[in-house]
Amino acid sequence: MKSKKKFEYQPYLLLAPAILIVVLIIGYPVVRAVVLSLYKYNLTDLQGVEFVGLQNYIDILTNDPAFWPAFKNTVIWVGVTVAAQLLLSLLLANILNKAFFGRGLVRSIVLIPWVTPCVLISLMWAWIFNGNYGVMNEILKRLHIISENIAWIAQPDTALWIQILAMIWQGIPFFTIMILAAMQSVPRELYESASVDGASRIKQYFHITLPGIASTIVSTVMIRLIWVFNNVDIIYTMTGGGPGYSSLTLSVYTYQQAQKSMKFGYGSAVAIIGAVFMSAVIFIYLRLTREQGGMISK
Amino acid sequence: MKKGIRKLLSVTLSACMALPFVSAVPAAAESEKTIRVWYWEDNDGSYEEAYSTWSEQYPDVNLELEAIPWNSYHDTLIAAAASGDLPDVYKIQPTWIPELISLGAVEGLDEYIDSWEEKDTIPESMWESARAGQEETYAWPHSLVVLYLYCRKSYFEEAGLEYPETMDEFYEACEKLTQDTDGDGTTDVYGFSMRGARGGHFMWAGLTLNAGVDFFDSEGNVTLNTPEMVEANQKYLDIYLNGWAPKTAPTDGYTEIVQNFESGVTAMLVHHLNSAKEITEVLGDDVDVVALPEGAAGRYLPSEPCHWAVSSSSENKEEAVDFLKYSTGPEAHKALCQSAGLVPFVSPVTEDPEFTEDKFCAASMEYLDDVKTFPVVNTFGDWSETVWPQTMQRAMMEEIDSAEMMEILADNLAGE
Amino acid sequence: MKERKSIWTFYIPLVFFLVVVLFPFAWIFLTSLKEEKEMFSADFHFLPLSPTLNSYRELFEKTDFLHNMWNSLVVSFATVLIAGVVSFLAGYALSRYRFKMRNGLMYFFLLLYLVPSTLLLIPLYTIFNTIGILHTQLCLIIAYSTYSIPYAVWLTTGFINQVPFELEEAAALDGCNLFQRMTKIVLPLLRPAMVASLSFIFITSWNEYTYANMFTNKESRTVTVALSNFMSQYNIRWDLITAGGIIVVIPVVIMFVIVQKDLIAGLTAGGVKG
Repeated sequence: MKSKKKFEYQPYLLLAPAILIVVLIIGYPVVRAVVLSLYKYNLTDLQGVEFVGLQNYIDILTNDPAFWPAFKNTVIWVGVTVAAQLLLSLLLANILNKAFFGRGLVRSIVLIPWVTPCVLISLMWAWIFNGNYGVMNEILKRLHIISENIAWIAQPDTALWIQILAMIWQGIPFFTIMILAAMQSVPRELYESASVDGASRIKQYFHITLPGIASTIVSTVMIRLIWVFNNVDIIYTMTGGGPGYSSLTLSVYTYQQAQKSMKFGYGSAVAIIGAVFMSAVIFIYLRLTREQGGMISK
Repeated sequence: MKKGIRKLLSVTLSACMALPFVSAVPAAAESEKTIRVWYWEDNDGSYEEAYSTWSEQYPDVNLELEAIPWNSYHDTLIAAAASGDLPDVYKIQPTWIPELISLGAVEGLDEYIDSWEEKDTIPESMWESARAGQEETYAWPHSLVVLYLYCRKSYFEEAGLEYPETMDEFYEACEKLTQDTDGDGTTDVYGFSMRGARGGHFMWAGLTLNAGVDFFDSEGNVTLNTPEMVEANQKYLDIYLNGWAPKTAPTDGYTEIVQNFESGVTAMLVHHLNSAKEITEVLGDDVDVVALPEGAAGRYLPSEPCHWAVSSSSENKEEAVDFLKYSTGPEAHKALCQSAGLVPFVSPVTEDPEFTEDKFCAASMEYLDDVKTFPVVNTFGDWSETVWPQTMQRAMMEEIDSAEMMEILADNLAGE
Repeated sequence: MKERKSIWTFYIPLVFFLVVVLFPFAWIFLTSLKEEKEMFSADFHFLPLSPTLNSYRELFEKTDFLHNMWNSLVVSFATVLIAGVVSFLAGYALSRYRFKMRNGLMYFFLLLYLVPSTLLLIPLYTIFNTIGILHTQLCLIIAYSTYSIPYAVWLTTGFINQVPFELEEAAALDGCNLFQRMTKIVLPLLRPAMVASLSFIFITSWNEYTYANMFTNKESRTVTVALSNFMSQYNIRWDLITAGGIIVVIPVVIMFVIVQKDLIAGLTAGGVKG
């Protein structure tokens, strides 16, 4: 790598367009959110706007019955979804990397969930798991696994899991295509020489493939952590976070507070707590994965 | 005071509030004025059809009708208000009035109303709803639907039941209509299509507040947590807890409750005129409607009125008010009620046999003078959008009991 | 390749994935052929009793769905162009240079994603309205670029890291300047990877709903908004939603079939060999 001592203008020049576009558009709203989070700022009552310092944060952390359930759900929602997506995608990418008849078509088909708009995904899954006309109940009944309809989406112990299922479904293709693309970049000679040395396929997978795609996995997992955390569409359309708090996540809660209840101050504070929490998770994650080709240099 | 608010707004909602851009638009031709109108509709094209006679009556004023989808309507309105880009006239729900006032987005209409000769053609209850408890009137009555009870005729006949007149009869019907029709040990027909998701507070209010407790007492104190209300609410919760409503009820929204009724999964449904067409298409004659049952204190008939508001930044306020008058004129009002499926409230349209002879419309209008509208206080938006469904669902899951539920609802409504 | 494919590790998982992926769509497709009455009928049929294409007819004849799809395509391709170029440049800088603010910038791009779009809606509306591009496709293109650039930057940084720098050093000795090295050496080697990264930008734009919902009008409305508008306040048009849901994925699947070839081409050409 290049590492001259004198100042180089080139990297800044190359980075300028990206930074400019992003900062121009997101910069102001971010500052605004941080400022608003220190105010009692309800759009329904602008006369009552006042500076409250950290009061919103204190209220959220100590005095809000919805926050901690939402926090717990967020951890489950993000953790389970991303872990399942990763494992299933590794498996799928491995299958799709083999040569077989119709592979191109199968690869394209497998990508379909990714191009499906979230609104449609939640309607689709809500429709399949509908407690009264859903095809899932019908199938399970015909297989004699259940004897009467289950209200999947209306029951607190299943609601969140149906949405996790939908989210896993949606996320696998993206993971898979990234891993598949990374697998193409692993030099072929490595496999050839390993074969000559008599290494088994499984051994080759763990010693050549995985290290070769590690940096892709690291960055993809990270981005999925953030996106799954941020996703509002699926949960909001399907249950609105209910029943009760049972599928409420921090992002859905932010959306409810800011967009539906018009409490911008409080909503911003929830968003910032969520963002700080996620930053911490990402920070730790990047530290842990440094050796695996994480992108933060030492 | 007002200046101080403006200042605060411009700090937080950015300097873009008082943009010169907005006023730089007026068309080249001075003589032709244009009124922009925003609204949402359920039947595509219903407004354009109903207001097609505008150009005959006001040839000098262009009417630009713009339908905004319901999903984004409120968000768009707020964003437009915050950036000073509102149309001259826009449709609102009464509960939005406080936020629009605090955004400085609505024009006071008292002057225009007082000088209007035909103001008595609109009933006092609609004017009151438009006034929304404020000192000045910022809205003009526009549309109305009233909740009533759909009953599946054949189910009632088979069970040998009359349509419920009182709450006791209603709960009895819920129980008796819940049946295991094929004898496999699981319920196939449920008495009532209960709605636990957002929007469910309408039917909840219609079936509990008739016990004699309202949201507020005459002094403005929240009274939802009184023992009578806790008891009435318990009975309502029991519909679900006793298994008289589908198990999906906690997250059922509008579509689900209507689907359940149409497909015969439920025997009774509380909704309004807007679903009548769809339901008769599916069920034909096998459906009747009656007013919501009477409780200890008579009937509580929630209605959903919508109003027009005039933007405070409109340059054509006179013409905007002309449009309001036109829209509540007998001709346009009748046309809209027909094309959009609404309950007429302007006399003499209310006497029109087209409406009085239609069973759904007649049931909506039966107690037109007594219909209730929800209180307009600035906590109500949050209360109905978020607090009510969450709390209701928790009670349905038995995480909290009826008393705790009413305590939470009361506290949040009072803003505590 | 002559690999033995075991039924347990290959065919069964493959079929499993295909079923899981396709089942929801198969079900939506069957639903779209049903009459509305049958959709909510108490006795259940897997197949439509009397299949009808009415929902598709209505979708094409009475709604602007095709126009909405066109809008989505225009916006998505424009975003791919802008965000693709911008993020490649940034990715190159972050991969090839070590400078003081590098790590800070990497975190910076990442952290931007933690700002929920909910909080951006009203300020962005105001900004777009001020500069007079609200309700045009341009404002969506800008918003989507913003949204996809940070990740596309990370992605290309990672990909470029895998291209041996020695290749460029050799080229530099032959007298290639920076621009030539990027376009003649790095880009060709990155072809499969760039395909993935550009697909990402495309799909993100194609699927976006929240911004499109607020920043478009009847004329510029995109397909995701059109789909969700089949749900109005008192009416859900399941027939149009299911039919539209099938139609909306078709062009993108076709695109994938083409892109697919590219990925394989990248492979057979020897990938990153050096």
